[in-house]
Amino acid sequence: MKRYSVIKNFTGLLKDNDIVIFSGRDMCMEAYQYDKPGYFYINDTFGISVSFALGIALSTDKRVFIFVGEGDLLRELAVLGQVAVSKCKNMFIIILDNGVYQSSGNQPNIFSSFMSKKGFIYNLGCFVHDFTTHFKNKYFTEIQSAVDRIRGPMIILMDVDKGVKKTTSNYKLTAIKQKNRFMKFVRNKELGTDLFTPPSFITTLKDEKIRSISMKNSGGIN
Amino acid sequence: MVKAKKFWNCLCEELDYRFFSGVACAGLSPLYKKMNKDIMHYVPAANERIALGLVSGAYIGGFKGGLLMDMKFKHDISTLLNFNLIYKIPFIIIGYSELKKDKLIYDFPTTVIVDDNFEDDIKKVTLESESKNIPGLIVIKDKEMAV
Repeated sequence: MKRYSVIKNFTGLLKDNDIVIFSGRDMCMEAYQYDKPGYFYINDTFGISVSFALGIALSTDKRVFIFVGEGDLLRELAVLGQVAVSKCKNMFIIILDNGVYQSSGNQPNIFSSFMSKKGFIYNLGCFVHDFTTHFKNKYFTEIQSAVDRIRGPMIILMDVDKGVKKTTSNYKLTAIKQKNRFMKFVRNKELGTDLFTPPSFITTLKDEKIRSISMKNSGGIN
Repeated sequence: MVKAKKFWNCLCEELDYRFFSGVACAGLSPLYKKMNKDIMHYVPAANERIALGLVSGAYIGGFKGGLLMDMKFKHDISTLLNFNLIYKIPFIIIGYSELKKDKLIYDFPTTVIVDDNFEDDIKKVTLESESKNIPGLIVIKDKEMAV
């Protein structure tokens, strides 16, 4: 199963008000073909793309999906624990696992050698699903039904083939233009969902109950 | 002495910084003790890199924020600040340092506060940080912090 095929099919199942972040140069190039205003591409991730996505999820009521390679995630495994304790219901990480560091020449990584990837993630406190078989068998109706109902923090594992789609499309967006477009989308309250009560510590300061819930949800210590 | 309560009031209520993340630091413990959940939101992070990502993400979501850290770990995040420079995401780093002068590898707006008259310095740093869309650094000098 090709990675671009998974990206195409999975993003096709998402709603228009969902936030989608792609991490890694090759993945961004593949995903750019299906570009939407709510998509954000992080070419050079520096290992902080997942925590960046979590920061967004903590400050909005939209669902946040981040597509990340397993090699990228290995740089900062602690973030999985951070996501788990955040109890952020609108946070979803899709790990596209091809077993190698692809962009640097298919060098092997340790992710595939984990004794139990699902067990490891589950024990941190995240929900975890493996949709590999569903995608291979093209059970898109079932996946659509699941994606409509899922609650975070959830990790979705998917095994993909090695290789990158050769594409001629290049970014037409500069980093700044991309950020401005994305910020406008994220901050557009009219596009929100009723999925998650955001930490509205500014707008609902007088509402003690809501604030205490939101603080608790985001792992705050106060 | 820098009064922690006054510091938070200045940063949160006057300058509207509301989202903070960071890793525990003994030098900044007065700041942690005086955190007021009515005016701010703090998320304890597993490490400085994660805290940086959280604060950057919260900015995209509409909340100005700050990262609390011990300046001994500045090299951990220095390269990651490239991310903020590429996408021009401003935020404030609140650092604790034992050195007389401390800074990051980049030439960001910086102030070292040593007494209770810090408001103008903080305002200057935040203003420059926001206007240039780059990180700003507020360093609190060793043993100059009080509850």
